[in-house]
Amino acid sequence: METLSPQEITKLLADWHAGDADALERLAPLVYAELRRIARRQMGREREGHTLQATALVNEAYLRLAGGEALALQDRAHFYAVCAQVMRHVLVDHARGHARDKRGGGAPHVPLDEAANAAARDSDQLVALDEALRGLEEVDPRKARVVALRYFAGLGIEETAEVLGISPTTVRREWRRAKAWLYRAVAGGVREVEDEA
Amino acid sequence: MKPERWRQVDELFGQALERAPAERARFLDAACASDPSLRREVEEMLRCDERAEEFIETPVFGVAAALIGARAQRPASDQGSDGAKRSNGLSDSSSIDGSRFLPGDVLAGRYRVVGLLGRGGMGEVFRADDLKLKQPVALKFLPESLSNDGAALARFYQEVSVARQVSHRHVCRVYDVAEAEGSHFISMEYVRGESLSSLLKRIGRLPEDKAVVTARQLCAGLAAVHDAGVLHRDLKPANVMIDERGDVRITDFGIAALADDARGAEAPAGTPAYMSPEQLKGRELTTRSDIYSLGLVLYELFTGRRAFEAPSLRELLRLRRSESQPSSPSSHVKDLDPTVERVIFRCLERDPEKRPATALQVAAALPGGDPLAAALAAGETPSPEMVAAAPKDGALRPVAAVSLLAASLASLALVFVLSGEVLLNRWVPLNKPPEVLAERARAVARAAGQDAPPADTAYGFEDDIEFYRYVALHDGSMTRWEGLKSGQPALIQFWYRQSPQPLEPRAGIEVTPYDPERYLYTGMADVRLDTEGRLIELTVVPPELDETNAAVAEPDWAPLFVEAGLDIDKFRPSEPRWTPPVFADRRAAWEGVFPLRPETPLRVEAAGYRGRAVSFKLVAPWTKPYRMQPYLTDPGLKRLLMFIAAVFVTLIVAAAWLARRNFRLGRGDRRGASKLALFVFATRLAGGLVGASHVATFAGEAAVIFAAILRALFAASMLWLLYIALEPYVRRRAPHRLISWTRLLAGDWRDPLVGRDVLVGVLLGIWMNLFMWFAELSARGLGIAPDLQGITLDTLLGVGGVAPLLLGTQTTVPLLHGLGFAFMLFLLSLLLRGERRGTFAAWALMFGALAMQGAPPFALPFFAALAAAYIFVAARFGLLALTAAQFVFFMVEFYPYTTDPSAWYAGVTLFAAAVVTALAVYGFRVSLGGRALFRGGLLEDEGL
Repeated sequence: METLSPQEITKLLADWHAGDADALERLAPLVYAELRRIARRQMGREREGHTLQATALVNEAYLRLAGGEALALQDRAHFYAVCAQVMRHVLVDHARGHARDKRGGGAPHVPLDEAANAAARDSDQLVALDEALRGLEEVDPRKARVVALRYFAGLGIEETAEVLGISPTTVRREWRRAKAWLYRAVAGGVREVEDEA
Repeated sequence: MKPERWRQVDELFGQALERAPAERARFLDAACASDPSLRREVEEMLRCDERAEEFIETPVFGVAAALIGARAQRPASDQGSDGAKRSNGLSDSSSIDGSRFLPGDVLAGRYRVVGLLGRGGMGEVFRADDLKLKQPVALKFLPESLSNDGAALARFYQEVSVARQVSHRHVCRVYDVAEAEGSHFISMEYVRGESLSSLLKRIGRLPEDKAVVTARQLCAGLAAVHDAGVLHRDLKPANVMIDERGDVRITDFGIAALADDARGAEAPAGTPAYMSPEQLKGRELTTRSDIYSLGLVLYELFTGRRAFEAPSLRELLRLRRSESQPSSPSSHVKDLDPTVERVIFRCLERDPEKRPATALQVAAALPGGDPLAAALAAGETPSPEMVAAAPKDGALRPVAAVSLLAASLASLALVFVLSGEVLLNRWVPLNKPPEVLAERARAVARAAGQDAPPADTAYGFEDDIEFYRYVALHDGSMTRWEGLKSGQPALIQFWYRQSPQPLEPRAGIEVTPYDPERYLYTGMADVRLDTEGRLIELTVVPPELDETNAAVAEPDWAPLFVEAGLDIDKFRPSEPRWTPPVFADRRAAWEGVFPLRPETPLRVEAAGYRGRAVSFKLVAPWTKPYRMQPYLTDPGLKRLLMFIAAVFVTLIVAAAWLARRNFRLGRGDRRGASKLALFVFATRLAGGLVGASHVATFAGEAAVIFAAILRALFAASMLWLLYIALEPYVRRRAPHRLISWTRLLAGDWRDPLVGRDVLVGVLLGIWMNLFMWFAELSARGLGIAPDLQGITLDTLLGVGGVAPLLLGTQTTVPLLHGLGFAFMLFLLSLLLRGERRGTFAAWALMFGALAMQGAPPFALPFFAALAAAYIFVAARFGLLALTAAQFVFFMVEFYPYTTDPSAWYAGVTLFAAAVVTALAVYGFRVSLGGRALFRGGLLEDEGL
């Protein structure tokens, strides 16, 4: 089994950043497969009751794909962004499937651990959030990126700042405002609720 | 909200957040004084901010990771896939689970897997990068069972090696075959887009104009696949990709059969929804089976529905086997172009022969589809396939077809009626078949002392052209040929040779009357008889070494005079002047007249050796001493012959040059040329072998076979050369003259247009003879002394004489004639810059050539009409009609027609007439294109 060389990863990341959607299309499955491979191993090691260490997963995937070498900061940022994309995709995909199940769709039900079940409970909300985030991407891409890294890739404020190359303060500010924006989009706004009350 | 507006809101929203909640109202009062709606927006955001405190604060990443982990443990079996390939790796990334390879895996040291595209009927399809050529590819894996089956694998490699030669805009390219971890896979072009089946699922049917474009691309692609000699075998919407630009790419051609291999014979591969009836029955598939599937795909393309649909596979199979027809497309789509429906139903004919022969014909039959016109308009040379597919509705109206057939048969009847007036064989008594005459000749040889049975014999008929000329020159009466009816003097002579050694044919072809070896061996005898069996000439080779010491004596000449039908007493002795070709010790000569023609003097020259006749010869006034004829006394004739030879060589060199050029530029119709060449080779060889004088020695027979092969090869290669050299020009300038021709070459002998042109050719061929006969008969009507129309006397010898003629000259020459003439028409039109002028010039040339043969003035109108008919057919109907005409012309000109059914050669007559009739009837039947001759069941009504 071989992996991409760091140079190739770098190139794909750079291509993607430069606007080549194809690069993401090719990166995403790679990242996904890497994540899955690690997850599979960890699951084998740690039996039930242990949730996966998310950050560890991403970091290991990153290290493996990067061939043990540190990528340039810029590329690291893109890599996390790809991770976020993958995670988001997996989640939303799952949530959609779950929503379909509720409506009587046919896919066999697969038992998941508690966290996954929690996500499944909120599946409608997750789908709504995904749509809202897409709206945010259009009007304010930087905020959308912050949300993706924080929420889907699980990065902290500092990490996010490092990845996006902006100050932690800015990240904090953007994050707060993005949350409000998304809340408004998902909940349908507050004013109406207030008016009714 | 627009981004600009949001930026405004966001700016104030951010600034407001910096302030304590109590101060915010005042801040907004100031900031949004002029824009109350802006203020409302910001206030809304602030309210949301309060509520959203815990909103999405817990990263969902852990959940995602858990999901991923859970999936990693899921068994592969629940990973369903609809089989329809989707090229978008991202949207399908989840389906990589449980597949054999993971992204990043490098296969065969060359392909790095990017993702799973789908699972088809055969196996998994991956998207991968070709690391060597740096381009995306699709990898299609074969079922495991196949990889273990050596024979199936060999077939698979064979199939792929052919498939990878297919290069076409609308065909997905196949690159290579490789093996990874024990599985075989094909690497092929990666097409970004979606399959037609998923497209149709998504949007229903295509709008008609787009559907026509797509259908045409589909046809072009399928034609290219067929062109390479590959059958698709599994054409269905799922195997038709629509790429990003909306263009068609056909995939998976040729390999579907391997799925059958893998599955075993009982269950047919894939869905039976798109199989042809013959495929469902497990019969052999042809390109027309693909045409059927094409029809089903077109049905779906235009209607958005499957032609055959059933809730389960079993019921689908039952439906398909019930021979039911799909409902008409127009019942689903109201305003569908009726031509579309017609094409679809033609493709869906149960009888493969009734379907369009090629995918290009399907394309041509689509609305607005004349690829030929398009190619000509674009200044391109249309391909032979395109020519064959030209949408020419060839079917003749029943009235026209019946008229042509009736005219042909009536003309043939006229040939019989007039044969008694003009044909040589009807004027010379032909009462004895060649076998009887040969027996007579042997008796004569026996009478001359040749008792031993010969090792070999040869015989044939020959006309005495010197006698004919003599009469034509000396007798201007209307009855000058009446004397021929007695058979003496003989206009048709029978020659016979026997030998104590095998007779070896000259140049390995046949024994001829004038072979220099005819006096080679002691005991050889040459006998010449008239058609009544009377002796004309006898030569016997005396012993080389004579130890009998017999006395020199005068042979008894009287029996030979009896054999010659002469009375020796009515001849007076004379001085011998003609020396015998063999040694003799006695010579004698007599003078007299032909008993039935007293005005014509006759000499008899004889020679003997030791009391036996070795030479006996009737010498008429026209008899020439051929052993002392000078070679080419006329310097003009000599120059002419040299000129002809030079022209011949020049033409071959020019043709070779043109052929090389066309071949290099890829213009020549190589397949057509090869087919023709093969046909000519096969017929010539067969004719040559049947007609040759075979020898009972190994060396002699080897020479015969070698000569036959060589001659067949020469004719075939000359035709190939000329075809490659000339055909492209005709195709470029006047493709309509090649339509039926190329269709026939493509094997479509049931095409109505082929039938029409053959029928026209038959009529012209008969009339090419009749025009000349009419010229002759009208001359007699004007009181001009008659001439006779010779025949090819070899035809009197039965199969051995007919076969080499029929399969040689009669087949090859019409091909050359037709091709040469079509090219000449093109050349003249080019030189004179006009189709009309070129055609007229061709007529003038042909008329001139006919008139120059010394035709009297009264014959000119007939020759003009003949040339006009010929040119008309050449220009209007083209190559096939010309070739058929020339063939039929020979079929009349060469053969001894007679109205006497008891004549021994009536079988040959019947054969010739039957061939012409069969051709006419074939042309008639096919030209109707399956239309009923009588509308409304006329015949049925009569029967009841």
